[in-house]
Amino acid sequence: MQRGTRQAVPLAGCVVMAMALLDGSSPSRAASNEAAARTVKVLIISMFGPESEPWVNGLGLDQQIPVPGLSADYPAVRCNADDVCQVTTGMGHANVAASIAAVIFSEKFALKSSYFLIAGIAGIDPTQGTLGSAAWARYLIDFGIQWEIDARELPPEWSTGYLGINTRSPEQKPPLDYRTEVFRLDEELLQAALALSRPAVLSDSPEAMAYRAHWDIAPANQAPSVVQCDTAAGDTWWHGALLEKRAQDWTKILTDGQGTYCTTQQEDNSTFEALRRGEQAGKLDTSRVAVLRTGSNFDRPYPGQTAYDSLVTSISGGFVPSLQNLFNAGSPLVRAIVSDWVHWRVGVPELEADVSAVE
Amino acid sequence: MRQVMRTGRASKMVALSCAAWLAGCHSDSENPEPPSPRPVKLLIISMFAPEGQVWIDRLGLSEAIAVPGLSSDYPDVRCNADGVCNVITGMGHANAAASLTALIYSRLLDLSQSYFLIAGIAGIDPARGTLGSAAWARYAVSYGISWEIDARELPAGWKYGYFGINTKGIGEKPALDYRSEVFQLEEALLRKALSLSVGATLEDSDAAIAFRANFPDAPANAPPRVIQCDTVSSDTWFAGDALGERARDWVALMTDGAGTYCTTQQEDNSSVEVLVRATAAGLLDRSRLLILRTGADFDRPYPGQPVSDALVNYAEQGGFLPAINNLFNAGSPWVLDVVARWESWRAGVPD
Repeated sequence: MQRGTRQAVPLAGCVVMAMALLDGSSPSRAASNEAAARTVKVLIISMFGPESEPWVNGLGLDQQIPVPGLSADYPAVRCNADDVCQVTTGMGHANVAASIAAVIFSEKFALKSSYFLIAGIAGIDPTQGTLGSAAWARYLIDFGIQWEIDARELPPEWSTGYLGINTRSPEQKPPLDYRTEVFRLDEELLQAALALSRPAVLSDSPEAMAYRAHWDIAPANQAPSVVQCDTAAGDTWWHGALLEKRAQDWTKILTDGQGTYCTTQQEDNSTFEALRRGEQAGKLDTSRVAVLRTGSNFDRPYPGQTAYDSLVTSISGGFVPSLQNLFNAGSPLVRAIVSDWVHWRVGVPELEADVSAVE
Repeated sequence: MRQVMRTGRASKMVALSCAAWLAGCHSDSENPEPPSPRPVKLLIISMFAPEGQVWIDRLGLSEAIAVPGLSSDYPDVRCNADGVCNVITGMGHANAAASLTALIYSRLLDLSQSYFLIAGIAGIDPARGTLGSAAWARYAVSYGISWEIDARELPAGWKYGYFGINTKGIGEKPALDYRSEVFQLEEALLRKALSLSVGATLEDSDAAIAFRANFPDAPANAPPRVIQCDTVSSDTWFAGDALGERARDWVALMTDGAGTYCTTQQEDNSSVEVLVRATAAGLLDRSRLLILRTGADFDRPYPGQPVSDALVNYAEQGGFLPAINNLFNAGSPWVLDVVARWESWRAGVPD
């Protein structure tokens, strides 16, 4: 999925002229557009109301643009005068694909130069992060698209009830017949997001501090930080050490050993697929997609705790810090794009050095 | 636009690119109005090629309409002169929602009076049907939107590891926070399609006949029929007695006892969610939707068969071709009636 983003900065002047024309008097589908498509520099994608609030409040997203086909719970895209916009999709694979495709094909937004930040809370692997950790993904892994048998009925050589569809055993990599099983994000954008966010001060809470003290390993029992590790999507919100092990192994299988699982959530492969459809239709560029997931809860129990208690009855205190850290870790990238748009418009601006060398 | 942006770095090239680009933009704005949306009497929704091909071949869906945003495997909607069209979405929840949303909001089709038939193959519960059975659903229930604990780590007495999100355990109905957990289809339309198809001749195969003989009871070991029972959706394709038992329990729980599980597939709640939203947007009427799922394989082993063998060798059950062909055999009586009596169907389900 990795796509080149190297674009020549000297074209910026041309882009400015042409964008002005496109966004103003000359929408590309004039016949179906009553108003010009709105310029979007960054589209922040949230999955439920609490994930959107730090952005709506922190960035003053006070413009509302209703879009037919969005979730009835979140019927409008919100924007500010800096052309930062935000959509809340609803949770799960069905809602995100429906909402994102509705935004793209509404023709209400000019997305060809837009960056996309999927920013949501997640379960987190205690070997890779902790409550409040902010993890930028390189790989998006679909956990849901698998075969499953009950784990009490396993053949002796199987360690899990999950296996790839149309395989013979859990270790085998499946054919990618769904096209949504695994995506790789653009490396330059990922590195830029990491570099911009590493100095961020992350929120914590007394409850989270107390809860993570149940762990005897780092980083689980340490303060949260910005990390890079990968994310697994499934409508089924699983929990426990055995299913976590499958997520770790499945990530390795689908990335040929390159990825490292750390967060679990219900949407991102579906969101990316909808964006990819928009790209294939010539409307946007998926090399401009970044995925940030923050640890709201551990994905398995601490030593001595049952999976049931960890999932159902415990309150880890990670929810509020994880929401705040979406903004704390994500906003440096958003601000950089907006404040240096003349460069970001044409690509991730480490390229400036390359371009000046050419000139 | 990106092609232009990526053109050379020399200033002359930039100037040329600008000129070409701006000229292109200008001419775009002078394009005539696009053709008005194509009226559709009935849209058949398939999930992968074999499910679509049976309709394309037998209904002569020879007109191809390219729709931006469809799966790259299936970039065209196909229609015939009678106003019957077919879209193939790709498999799984993400593909189903992305394809149907792209199609609806392209506004290339006029769906305002259309009927919709989701028609695909599925796993089937041997307590309700068999290989080749054709099941019209009243309810579509999401199996996937759940909590799960590995079955080796269950609280004492639990039958399986799946239970509702934000509940205390199996048997407690969750809040419907996702809105896509359960849908009920229009009863009058369901009744009509059932009555039109119940006499249909269904296809069988020698391999299916031999395989179903492994089951001791009917309907699993009897020839396929048209039936009414309900469907569950999950990207995770499960098999076995424990997970199948959960499907039965979950459908009953999510429908307050009114539904009966029989088929398992990977898309329908996602597809229906898109149609529900488009109904709210005023573009179509979700009460004109039906779901037909046919049994390609059993959702659990026959007595004595290891579940792992049942799953990894599912294709040897012989149900695939009968299931594909029975989509047409059971679905076409309704499709053809809508076309033949459109003046009646246009206003709603005829008496």
